[in-house]
Amino acid sequence: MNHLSEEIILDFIDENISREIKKDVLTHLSECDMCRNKLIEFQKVDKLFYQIEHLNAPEKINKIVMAKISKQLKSEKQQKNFFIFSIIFISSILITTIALIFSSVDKVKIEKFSEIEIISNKFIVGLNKILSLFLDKIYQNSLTLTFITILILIISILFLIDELKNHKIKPNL
Amino acid sequence: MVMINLTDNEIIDSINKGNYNDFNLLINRYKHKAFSLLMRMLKNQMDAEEVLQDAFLKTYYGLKNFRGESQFSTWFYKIVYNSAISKLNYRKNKFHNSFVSIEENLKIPFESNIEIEQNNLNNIVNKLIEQLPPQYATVINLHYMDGFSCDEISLIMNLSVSNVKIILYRARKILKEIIMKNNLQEELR
Repeated sequence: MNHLSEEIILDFIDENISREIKKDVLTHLSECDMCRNKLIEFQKVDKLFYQIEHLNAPEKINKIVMAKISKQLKSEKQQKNFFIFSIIFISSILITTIALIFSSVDKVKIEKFSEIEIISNKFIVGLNKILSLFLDKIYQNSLTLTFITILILIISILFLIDELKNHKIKPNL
Repeated sequence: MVMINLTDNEIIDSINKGNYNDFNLLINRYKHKAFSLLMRMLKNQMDAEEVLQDAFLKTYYGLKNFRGESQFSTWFYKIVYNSAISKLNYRKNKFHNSFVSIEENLKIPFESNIEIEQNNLNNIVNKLIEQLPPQYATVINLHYMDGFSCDEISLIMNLSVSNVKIILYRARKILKEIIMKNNLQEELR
């Protein structure tokens, strides 16, 4: 009489065998005490495993993980804010420069316009005229504009200082 | 309280919509399971805690890329498992190699005589599993405690299904032998 292999017994427990083999196994088990005992032993081991409880993770894990995520999100937000600040900063510098250039061009226009016309080519003068048509109002308000951009610059710098302070204060987890 | 009944995918949707605090629900749902697996693999509480944190962070940042093609649990366990393997590689442990050489003959490295200090079923079984080689303990953990099928375990551990079945078969055989040798069957009844 050939006994059942342990592999077949485990496949039988896991129901990983075909209907025909299952039939043969059942027939053999009804006749063989040794194989039946083996089956019972394996079933006991299985039952045992299913009763194992999970080990308890430390409760602090939630706090630690969430704090790290929160820190990362804040850092991302700060980077985003810094990007916005940089754009404002660069834009305000550009506006200030343009305003200053136009205010000085205005002076040139009054004092040395004829000289320029004689010395330089007509193209530059024409361009100057077109620009002055569009930006006439800006010429007039260049001082106000400069003042506003300086104000924006100050606000941006204060904002940056505040961001840096926040960054420094946050503890490393 | 209502949130607790949400499925994993519903929680993930909520997190991806910006409610990052809902990730706490996933942590609560999986922390004990993942910690058990890590303890079985790493056999060291400090390392298990460190890798658990790391795995949860990787999971959070990977959620945007989670397409829901597989179950979240399988995807998450794969992260946990790979993080543990990285830790083991870092320790220059040969654990990972033993996965590759699963077809080789197994020498049972554990003691056959187990001292049972506490007559507690859970303690006895945990002690028995501790004696198993890490890859065997991992498969036992995933199959019996977490209810994964051999197919799912093969995805998590990046092994073939037949290798998973071999490990499962050998682990059960080893544990049955230990139980019988130590006459534990009476206590475990």
